[in-house]
Amino acid sequence: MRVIDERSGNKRVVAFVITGDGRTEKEVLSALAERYNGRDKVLLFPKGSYSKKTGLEALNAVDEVFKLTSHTRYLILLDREHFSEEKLHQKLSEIFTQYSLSGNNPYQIRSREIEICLVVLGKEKAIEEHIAELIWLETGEKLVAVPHLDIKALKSAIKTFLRTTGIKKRTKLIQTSKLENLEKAFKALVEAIKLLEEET
Amino acid sequence: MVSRMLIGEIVEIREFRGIKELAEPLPLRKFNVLIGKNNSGKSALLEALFLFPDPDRTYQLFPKPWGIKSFIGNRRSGLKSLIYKYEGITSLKFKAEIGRGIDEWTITMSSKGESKVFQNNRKVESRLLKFKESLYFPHDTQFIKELDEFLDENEEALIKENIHTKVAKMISKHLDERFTEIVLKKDGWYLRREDASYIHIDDMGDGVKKAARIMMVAELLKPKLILWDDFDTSLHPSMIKMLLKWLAQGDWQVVIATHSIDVLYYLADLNEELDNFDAQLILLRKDQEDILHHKELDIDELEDILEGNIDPRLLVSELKI
Repeated sequence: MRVIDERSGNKRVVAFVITGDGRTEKEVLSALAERYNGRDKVLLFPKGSYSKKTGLEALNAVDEVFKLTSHTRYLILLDREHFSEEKLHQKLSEIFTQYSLSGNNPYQIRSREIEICLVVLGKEKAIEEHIAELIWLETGEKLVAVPHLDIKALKSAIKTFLRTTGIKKRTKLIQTSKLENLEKAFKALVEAIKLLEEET
Repeated sequence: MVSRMLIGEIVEIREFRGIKELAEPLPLRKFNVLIGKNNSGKSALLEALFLFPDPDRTYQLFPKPWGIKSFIGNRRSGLKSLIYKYEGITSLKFKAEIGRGIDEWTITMSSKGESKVFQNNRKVESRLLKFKESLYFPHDTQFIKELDEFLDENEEALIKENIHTKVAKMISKHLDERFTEIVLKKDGWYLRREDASYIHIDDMGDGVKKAARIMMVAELLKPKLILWDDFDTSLHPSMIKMLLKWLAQGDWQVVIATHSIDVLYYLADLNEELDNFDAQLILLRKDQEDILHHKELDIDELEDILEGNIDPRLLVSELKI
């Protein structure tokens, strides 16, 4: 599956992707999705060039995108630090008059017209924790001691590791990692990708 | 803020430039921002609005005594370029307010160059040749330079109304240099620095040339409608922000076309800053049959899209049509 900004040709859009967080999500999702089949299928991720940490507020965009376009299926990526199930229920009841919520990361949300697959990234805070876990699974290098997680320091440690080992890019790390390690490190995200693949 | 709306709705565009037809009427607000891919009909829409109410009137800013339709046509391949596929009759319909009440205005133009104007389906015999309530700024550096001729003729009025100092100060806030006024000398317009030295306007950057001239013209004429194509070109983000605020606070209706994401973010910011900011984003998409489709987002809806870290410009390909 490929992640694209804008549709061209007859590619089948599996889901419209919305994120409440930064730039890393798009890179990771793009690299990860490509490891899975369905080359005629795409995830549409028309991400703005300015990233804002908006958390659950990003869900407000679903309704607007639905009104403007014909997309009914969404993949939403949020960081753990902005998330609680209570806040999720609160937000969903603001947006939908009726909805059902099932699963537990990925969460499956269904309203009358819209389906959302919501992935919460990070064990405590953010997606960098998954990248660090992948590095540990692939190389045995432990980059951070949880708890007292400092995401800024972790980001910097990941950068240093990728630079010193010659891997250089996060995407290259994902492209060259074993599938079983990807599935352990990015459990919820990989499950969501598989789910979206199977349902289309 | 007093709301002045010249055109309330574009009811119909038929066989105009690259547009075969407007899919459905397009309601306008006081502040309108057009986005769409290249060749999606943004400029054509601005030109259609500028032809209202009479395509045979002249443009007071343009040195040549051409009718508006020639001003637009001659920027392309001539009058025939106004007509879809160069043959037939163009029809433009608007709900607009000139004087008392809202009327439906229809403009027709043929490929032979003939044009007619109808008000509520009655032919307007005495043409509206003196109508000067709308200004159109195309994306054309030569046109922007030629505004100097109009500014030269109106030097006294610009000074009397302190427009020369107001514009210099507003622009200065977004430059590394401070200017106190814009003055006319023998060989053109100069910006005066605080140390009393001068710099010719043509020696300034493109963004300053454009912003200073357009602001002076609009401040002087105080039109009811400002149409501005490729608004953001050559402008630094801080200049974009200043101009948007200036446009939003003026007692006029505004329609601008842009490709800039900055404009969209600042639009959302202005909604926080200004009371009763009556604005919308208009997404345009032309289909294979050259039917122009549009969807409008009010500023709250735009904010929701931006909160989802979605680029509204990329949504145009996905518009439900």
